[in-house]
Order: sequence, then C-alpha cells, then structure tokens
Amino acid sequence: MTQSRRIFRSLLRNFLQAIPTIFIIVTLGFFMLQLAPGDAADFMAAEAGSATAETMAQLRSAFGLDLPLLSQLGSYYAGLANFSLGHSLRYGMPVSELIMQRLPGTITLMAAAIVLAVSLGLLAGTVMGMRPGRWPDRILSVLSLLFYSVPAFWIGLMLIVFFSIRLGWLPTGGGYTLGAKLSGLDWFVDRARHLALPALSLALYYVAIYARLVRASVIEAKSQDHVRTAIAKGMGRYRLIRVHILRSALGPITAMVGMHVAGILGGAVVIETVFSWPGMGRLAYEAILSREYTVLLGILIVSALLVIAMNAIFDIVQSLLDPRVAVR
Amino acid sequence: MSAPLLSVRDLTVDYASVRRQGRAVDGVSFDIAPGEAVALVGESGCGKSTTALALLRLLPDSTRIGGSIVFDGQNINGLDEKALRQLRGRRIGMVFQEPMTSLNPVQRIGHQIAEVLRVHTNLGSCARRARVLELLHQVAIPDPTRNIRAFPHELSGGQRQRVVIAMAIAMNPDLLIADEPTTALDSAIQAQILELLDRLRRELGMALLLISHDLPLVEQWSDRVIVVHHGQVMEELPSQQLFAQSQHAYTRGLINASVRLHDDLHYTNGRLVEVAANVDPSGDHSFTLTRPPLPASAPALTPSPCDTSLLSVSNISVQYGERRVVDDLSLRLGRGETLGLVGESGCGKSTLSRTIVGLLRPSAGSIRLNGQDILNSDAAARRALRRRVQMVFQDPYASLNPRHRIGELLGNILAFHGERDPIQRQGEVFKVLDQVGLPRSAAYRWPHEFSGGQRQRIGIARALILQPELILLDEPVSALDVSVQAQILNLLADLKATHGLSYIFISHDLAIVRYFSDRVAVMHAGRIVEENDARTLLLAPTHAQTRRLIEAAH
Repeated sequence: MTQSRRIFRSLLRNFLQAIPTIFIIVTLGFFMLQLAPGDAADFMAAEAGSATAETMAQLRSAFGLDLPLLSQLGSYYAGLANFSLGHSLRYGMPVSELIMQRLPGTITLMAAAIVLAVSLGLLAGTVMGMRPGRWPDRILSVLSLLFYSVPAFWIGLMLIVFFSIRLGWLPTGGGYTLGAKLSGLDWFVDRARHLALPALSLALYYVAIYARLVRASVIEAKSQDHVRTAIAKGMGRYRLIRVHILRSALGPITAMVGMHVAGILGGAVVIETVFSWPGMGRLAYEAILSREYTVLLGILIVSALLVIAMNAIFDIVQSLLDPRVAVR
Repeated sequence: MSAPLLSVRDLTVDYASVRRQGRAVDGVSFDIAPGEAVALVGESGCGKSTTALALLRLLPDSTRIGGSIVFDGQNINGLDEKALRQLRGRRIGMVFQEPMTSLNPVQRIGHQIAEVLRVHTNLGSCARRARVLELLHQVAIPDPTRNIRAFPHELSGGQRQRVVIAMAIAMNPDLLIADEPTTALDSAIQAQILELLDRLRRELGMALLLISHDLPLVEQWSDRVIVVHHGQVMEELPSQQLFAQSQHAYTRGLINASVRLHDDLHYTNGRLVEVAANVDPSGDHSFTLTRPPLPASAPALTPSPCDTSLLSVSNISVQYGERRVVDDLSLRLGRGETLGLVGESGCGKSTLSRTIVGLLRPSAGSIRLNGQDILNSDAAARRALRRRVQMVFQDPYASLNPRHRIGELLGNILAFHGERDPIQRQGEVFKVLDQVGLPRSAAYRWPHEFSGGQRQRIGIARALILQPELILLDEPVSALDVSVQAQILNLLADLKATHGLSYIFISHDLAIVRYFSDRVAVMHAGRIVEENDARTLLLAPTHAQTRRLIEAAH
C-alpha cells in the first residue's frame, strides 16, 4: 500500500539526514571535550596515587593522546567508518560493548517514563478538561503546577525519603536486587519495583505538561461540531470521551512527546545518578570524571541516534493517528 | 390532524455561560405531525438553531430550558441522560450546518456511520457493514464499497453532508432535524441535498424539521412555515401561502427585502425594502418597512458603454503550482459599470479578483487600468494604482484585525498611503464613517463590538477611504441576513451613484447578481464561458453551465 511505502520513504529520509547530524555532533563534541583540563592519563595517574613523567608519557603514547588533535580526530573518524566506537582505557573493553551493556537500562527507564507521563497526563487532563473549574480540576491544576516547578532530582530524593526510607516499600536505588537469581514473574516484579521511583520522578515533570495540554485539548474538543454530532447519535459518555474527544487530543500530545525525547534522555542522566540506575547516563557521568573522550563521544553518538530514531517513530505515529497529517 | 409526533409548548432557553447570556428562545410553541415537513425560519440570532438543539438537549450544561417538549408522549425536557440517549440517533436524527466540521476528521466515514448501529443495536460487524453500505447507497454516495473507507477530508462538502444524513437516518428515525443543512454548500449541491432529504422523508415516513434563513428554500421544501424573530413565533402558515398571504409585518419585510430571480427589480429602478425592528418601552417589537428612494442624480450615472473602458484584463492565467486556476481569461469593465461574476465554488472567481487587486501575480497576460499596465510598472506607480482598486471581502469579521480600533484600522490605510497629518486622517475617517452610515463614535470601538452588517459597513469604509474608482466585492452579502443584505446592497448602490464607482460583484446568488449588476459574466473552470447583460443572460442562457446555475437557483 502507498501508506507503507510512504512510511519507508520517511524512515529512509530520516536515516540519510542523520548522517550529517552525527558528523557535526562528533566534530563539535570532540573539540569541546578538549577544552576540559586534563586527560585520561592524568586521571589514571591520579587514581594510581602517583606516576613518573616517563610513565605518563608512555601512557599517552600508548593511547595516542600525544598525537596532534586533528590526527586524533581523523583516527576516530576512521574507526567510525569501520563501525567501531573505539576502546575504553579505564574499563578495558570496546566502547560499543560498554554502551550496549548500559543502553537497555536507559531505554527501559525512558520508555517507562514516557508511558507513565502520557498515561497519567491523559488521565489527569481528561478529568480536568471534562469539568473545568470544579474541585478535581483545581486540585490537579495545583499539583501539576507543583510538579512543573520542582526539579526532577529533588522529586526523586523526596520519593526515596518517603517511599523507601519512611515506608520501606520500594528500593532506594539500583536496577535489580543484587545476588538474587530470579526468573519469570518474580524477575519482572523485582525489576518493576526498582524502576518505579526513577521512572516516576523522571515522568512527573512531563505529566504536568501533558495534563495541561490534554486539558486544553479536551475543552476545545468538547465544543467541536463533530463531538456534538456524536452526542446526537446517542453515544454514551465514556465511549464519547475515548473515541471522539481523546483521539483528537492525542495528536498534539504525540507531537510534544516527540520533541521531549531529547529532554527526557537528558533528565535520565540526573535521575540515574540519584537512583544509581545502571544506565548510559551514569556511564557518561563517570566518563566525564575520568576524561574518557572515546566513551563520551560514543555515548553522544548513540544518544543522538536514539533521539533521531524516536523522532522518526513519533512522526509515523502521528500520521497514523491523524490521516490528514501525511508522512513526508 | 392526527396526534402530533412532537409538541413544543412555551419553550424558553436561557444561556448563562461566559460566552453567551440571556434569553435566546422566548415562549416558542409548535407541533409536528408524523411525516410532516415543518420549517423554522428566521434570521441569525433569532433562536431557531437554539430551538433545534434544545429538542435533543444538545445545549451546554449551563443553559436552562423551560416549557415542555413532548415527543411521542415523553417530555424530553424531563428525561435523564440514559433515556435521552435512547432518543438521540434512534428516534430523532439530526443533520448539522457545517459538513466540514460535523464529522470526526480522524475516523473513516464507514466507522462513523456504523457507530450509530453499534450504540443502538446489537448487530454484528458484518451486518453493520452491510447496513452502512445500504445507507451510503441510499444517500447516493458514489462507489460505496470504496468510500466506506474514506476519511471525511477525502470527500467533497456535499458528500460529507450526505454522510451526516446517512448517520441521522441509520435507525429510521421518526423525526429528522436539519439545522441549515445546505447553507455551507454551493447552490447546485444545495438543491441535490434538499431533494435527497425530501425523498428520504417520503421513503422512510419521517417528519422533518427544517431550520433555515432562506425563505424561497423553505417555501419549496416544507409543508408549513414558522417564522421566528427574537426567540418568539411571529407567524405560522402553510408554505404555499408564505409569499402571497403572509400577514405579519416582519414576514412581509423579509419577503420584500429578499431578492428573487423572477422579480423585475434592478438597482437602477428601485432600492430594496429595509425592515427595521423597534422595541417599545413595554418590550414589544414592532416592525417598519421602508423602501429608500433612488438618489436624484441616478439616471446621469447609468453606465456608458465600453468606450471609456476602466479595466481591461487580457489573456491572464494564474497558477498554483501545477494547477491552472485562471486560464487565459479576458474581461473588460466600463467606467461606472457593475460586472457580476458568478460561478460555482472552485471556478476561480476569488483567484481572479485577488489577481486584479494585485494580491496574486498572473503567470501570463496583462491587466490595464485606465490604459496603464499594472503588472509591469514600478513599485511607486503600482502603489498609486493600488489606491484606485479596492476590495471588500466576504467574511466581515475575519477580515478586520481584532486588535485594532476602527479608527486605527481606517487611519492606518491613509498613513500607509502617505497622509502624515493625524488630524487630516481623523477627518477622513469621520467622513467615510458618515458615508457608510456608521456613527462617528465607531472610530473608538473594536471590531467585535459590531454586528455582522456593521462590520461589513466597516469593510466598505476601508475600501472607500482611498477614494478608489473600482471596488471588487467578493461575496459581500452572502454571510449576512436577508434584512441586512438589503441594507448593504442599498448602501453599495447609493455609494456607486454618489461616487461614480465601478464594481466587480462576485456572488453565487444569481438573484442578487441579477438585481445588482449591469452585465454578468459566468465563470467555469478558470474561464468566462458566457457574458451578457443581466436580463438577457437569465432569459436566454446559451452555455450549459449558465443553465445549470439558473436551474439550481429556482
């Protein structure tokens, strides 16, 4: 069908557009990282406690850090052309392997946060929009303003204080219970318990945004002629909301989520640190501290690809939701 | 008469929302017998649509409804949500005014029609599909098996209205309410839709409540007419007697204010009747009808034949990308002449008018004003020329910047054209407000404070303030009520006489074009297919397109 062909064309176009984007990101990233004082050899020396000038020089020449900047960049490109992201000195393994270990954690966290944000946002927004000005609307408005104005890491800390320390319901951090060999449902429940707090604290800011957006869309949709037509058909309230009102509210939400993916990824770095969640964000943090440029560049590339891929997907989702939006 | 199907008694509707307040319907009573076609007719704001929505309780929650609406023994005004849902769509179907927006844009039309069956029956999905195909066939949608999967935006306005009708009749209702079902459609399609409604009414034995502002239309398509004004019933009479035997001053006023095709009235031999509603201190309305006299100087300004040609458009073509909208078109306009331009929507008339005022650039051809080439002159000369050709738009509200006071709106035009002295500007603004019959205080008010007719006067003032020679009137009265339409047409005719203006008058309403133009050009697919003086063209049309337009207007 033409629809699937157009989707394929759109994916191909997005992919081709990604190539120059990645090139710019790598080049800019490389030079900006050089602006930070010190290099990996300094860090390793500091970690070891002491090092002679000879060992330092040895380390640098072994890692190629003594070469001119441009030839360092050139060899990084050469590696990229062979689909290699380089080698990490500190972890002693290829960067791609390192990232692949951490990537699922970050994607899980992001996906959970997006799902939470959209579903809670839809729910709260519908409740608010169906009866604007009543007390549920007022209360949810105040709450959404609160979540909107308070930074995510602080919410995360407060959630830990309340749910983990006071109530003891959920773990304070980590990705899974260490040492426990679980399988099946137990495994899933364990992961979900660890995921709940970080995902929630990452999501709440976006819940606030989506709730307000949905509220406005619902209020607008209610006064639309086609909703009146649907009422005149004799439709019940819940089916009306689900089929006619929320469907038209979903369009703007999808567009917003698409734009927020990069922000959510950025927020994930902070949240992963707060909850010691084994994801790419914490890897990036550690890589900056240890001046591991190859690791950091690798993370930059993978994050950029992730954001580009998500945007492409949301473009398609939007065109599926609204037939008037043609996939370009 | 058998027992009425619907019996409305002392219906009152009060709006109490932020947007709208006050009483919209004030003690309306009427009956509809099974199978009968009744029309509620009146001008905008008279409460006819509010009445229709009240019958199905489709008004906002803040609205208060009083009186009784007894449908088949049940008082709709006392029913709970659940019982109401049993009536809506099942026993009473409704067709709305705007086919463009009354369908859900993100769902296939087959699905939307099937939804009625899903709510009211327990048919399986195959049976639903079969019924939807049958309904699409019944409302004459071409190729039902393909179009059942169409989205609303893939259909034309007329086809969408057919889909809405299919939805409304899906459960074979006893009563169909049609709220201005054809107002948003082309005249040729209007006739088709009304024929369809009439045929379905007979086939299914439904009663029909037709809401309209169009007197000739309701005369033709209903059994009985109820004339409404300011929320009250003025008069109720059989449709055949509407034009000949109506008694009420308001109805007579509407009839005289509207122009019909076979009237032998022309702007050169008489003005239209204006109806004015006066409210006396006790709150009662009285109506006065006046026919303004012709200006004394009128005969001197009958158009001279084309020896003094004001505008000559030669062989212009206008393209939007690949699509050629105006195709090798030529026309001439004499000084002091009014050229009526008619055609279906999409025939290129608006594009043509935009090209003449210089908003669009043709890909070929030339436009001369007083013999001077508009297209190939330099910027300064073009600006000077632009003063002499002005335009009045269809939608009097959308074409006024809502953030500017009227005084600024008008004064800025003068400032743009080099009038630096603010006192001089203000004098000009007051003068032009006098000319279009608005109070001078209007200069200090905002666009939203005016009624539709007043806004159109502002639109005319905006065109007039530069003292142009030619004004393009793009459907200037089609958004207005009959009585306001008469006032605006009278104003335009007077301005033409006093200022020696020439008009190009674009309209889809042949009767008005016939009244207001000296010469009529019929446009079809980007070309002028026939051109003649108004009377001859209507009596002896030569082109098929002209005949089609005339047929649709009857």
